[in-house]
Amino acid sequence: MFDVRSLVFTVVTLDALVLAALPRRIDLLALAVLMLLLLAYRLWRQLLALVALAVVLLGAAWLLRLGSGPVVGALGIAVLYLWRYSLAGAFGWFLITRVRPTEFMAAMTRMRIPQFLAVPIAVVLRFVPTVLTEGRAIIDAMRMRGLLGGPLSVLRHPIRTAEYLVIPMLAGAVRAGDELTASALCRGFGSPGRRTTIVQLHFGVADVALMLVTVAVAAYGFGVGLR
Amino acid sequence: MKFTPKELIALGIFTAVYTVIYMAFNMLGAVAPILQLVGATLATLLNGITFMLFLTRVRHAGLITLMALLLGILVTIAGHHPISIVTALVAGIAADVIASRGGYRATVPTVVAYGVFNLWVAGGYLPLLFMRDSVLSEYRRQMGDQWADAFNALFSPAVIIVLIIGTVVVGMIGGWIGRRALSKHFERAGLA
Repeated sequence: MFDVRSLVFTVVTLDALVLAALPRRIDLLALAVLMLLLLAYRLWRQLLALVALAVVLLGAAWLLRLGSGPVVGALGIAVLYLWRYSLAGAFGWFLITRVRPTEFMAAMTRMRIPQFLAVPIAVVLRFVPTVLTEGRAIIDAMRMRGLLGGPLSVLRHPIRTAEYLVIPMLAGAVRAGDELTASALCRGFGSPGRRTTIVQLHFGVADVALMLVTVAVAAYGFGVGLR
Repeated sequence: MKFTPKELIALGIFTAVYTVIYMAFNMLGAVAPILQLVGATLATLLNGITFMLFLTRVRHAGLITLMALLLGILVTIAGHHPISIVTALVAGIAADVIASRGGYRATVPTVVAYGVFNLWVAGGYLPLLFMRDSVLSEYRRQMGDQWADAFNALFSPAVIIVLIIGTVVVGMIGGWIGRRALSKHFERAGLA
């Protein structure tokens, strides 16, 4: 659909704008862009989830603004913060799940980013979702063996609980890393000579439009921010 | 810079694990600022294990610097001040130099290196020391007077300096925990 480069540009810019100290209207614009992206990729369920999240969180913030007093005010701020981070997280999730690591590598090779930066970045992007699923599986396994009690025991032994989670996670990561290395070496990674890619990247009209929208949103954000 | 493919992939994998642990615990900070301290401390302690396991894969200088740089870029995208990239680079280079004293294997240099390495997050605090007024007025506009006043009282310059020193100390404790975990779990399983 869209080219990796325009997607990365859009997501990084909008993420930064949403999280930066700009007036709140920017999050609505970013939300609109993300909804359009989800629409373009036909991710109906995710679109529905995003709309539901926006309605619940923004609705809660709006309701809290009607009230007054320090507690309500603090809660309202917490909800708004949660909303901003959720929106930024949704952008990140979209990028990580929609773009394949091979496309990332192709784009970074094309942009002549040195290998010692491109490879770790590609591995991080490929690996974060794996770590998350692995973490969930480990929590389930620990609960099944009765090693992970309720929230109370977690609070009482935070270090021990975390050790139960972190050590298996790292052991799994080490094994996965060895496999990934073997697989990469088989494909000629680390061999001398210029790297070429099979993936064809197309920078089309849709990409130009997406980048223009992003630039427009950013310009609007900074224009308002300056005043 | 020349690294082996194995090292670069290990760098990516351990940075991913580090990031997940770091973000998971720092999300506590969304609830209340004081919980952020607890979460950050826990994340630092646990990531000692990640860092030490990473070092068992390191043979060349520069990989620790690259890890810090990647983390700095990541938190900058996640909303930290861009100076984080600079502090991450400085902390990474310092940690690299210290760890290389022991060939990335000896206990004391690696523990100290992890303590110093943790200063990569200091970019989040430094604006509060050197650009305090503009940061505070920004918070006042964004979060309201009450929040800004509470923040001002809680994070005075002295507290920030204590925080930065505390980061190194907690980091060294985390590094020590990491060394223990290494010999207790990973060397026995043949993974280190």
